[in-house]
Amino acid sequence: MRQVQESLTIATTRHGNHDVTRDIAAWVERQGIETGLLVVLLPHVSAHLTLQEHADRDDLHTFFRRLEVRNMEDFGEFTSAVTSVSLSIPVRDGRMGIGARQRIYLYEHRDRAQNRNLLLHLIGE
Amino acid sequence: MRQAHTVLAVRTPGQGLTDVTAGLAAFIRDSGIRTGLLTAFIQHTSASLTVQENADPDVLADLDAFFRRLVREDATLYRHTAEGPDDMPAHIRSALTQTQISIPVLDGRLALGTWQAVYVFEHRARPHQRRLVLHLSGE
Repeated sequence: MRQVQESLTIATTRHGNHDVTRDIAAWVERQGIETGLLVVLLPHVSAHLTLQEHADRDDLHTFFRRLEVRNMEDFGEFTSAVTSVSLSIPVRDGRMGIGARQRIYLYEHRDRAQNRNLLLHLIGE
Repeated sequence: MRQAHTVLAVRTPGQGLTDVTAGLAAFIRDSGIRTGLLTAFIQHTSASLTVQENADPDVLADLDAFFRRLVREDATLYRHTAEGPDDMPAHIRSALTQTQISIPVLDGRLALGTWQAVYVFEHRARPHQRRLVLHLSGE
């Protein structure tokens, strides 16, 4: 079994979803690990990770915006309770085993552009 | 360290929770791995995974009812309505729950609590065939 780790920097531009699937998939496919487990960690408290369909990202953005308005005072706590900052994704045949319609999004909760780190850990052989 | 992986097909009867613990346990048993880490990953964006109580079915019914209240089936709220009134709420319910779960394996068994079970949480109204990718590493 081998392990590889990498830190990717993602420049977010605005509040909402940023598709990071291609960045992560390209890194996984370069590692030469056929079978294994990928863990993606986002070490931030005002952004989260989600797997969604491309078509739905605007509605999802609107839903979170409405929750924010309703729960403004404790939004930070509420968001971290219902969202995730890490994903574990099986790797099969050298690629992430995600569904055909699944994309990985980094959801930015801040209104201004930010630099976010994504830590990737892949173990397998 | 060894690894095992497979795809588990799960038939759901429509909105609600389907217990998949036995399917995960059978995969672990067949692998012969006694100590390790199991990861279950659902390849869909309108169904998800959750660990919940396995004793009282009312818990599952209440959980489903809570999510119906939280994420309303109201077409005026959404742009993505082409796949039916239950589709966008299904994606949001999925975003609020888990796409993957990692569970330690001890003595060849999932280290779940006595009252815990792993469920596929179907968010669409109609029955679906769902795909779970299972990965196990250990020895």
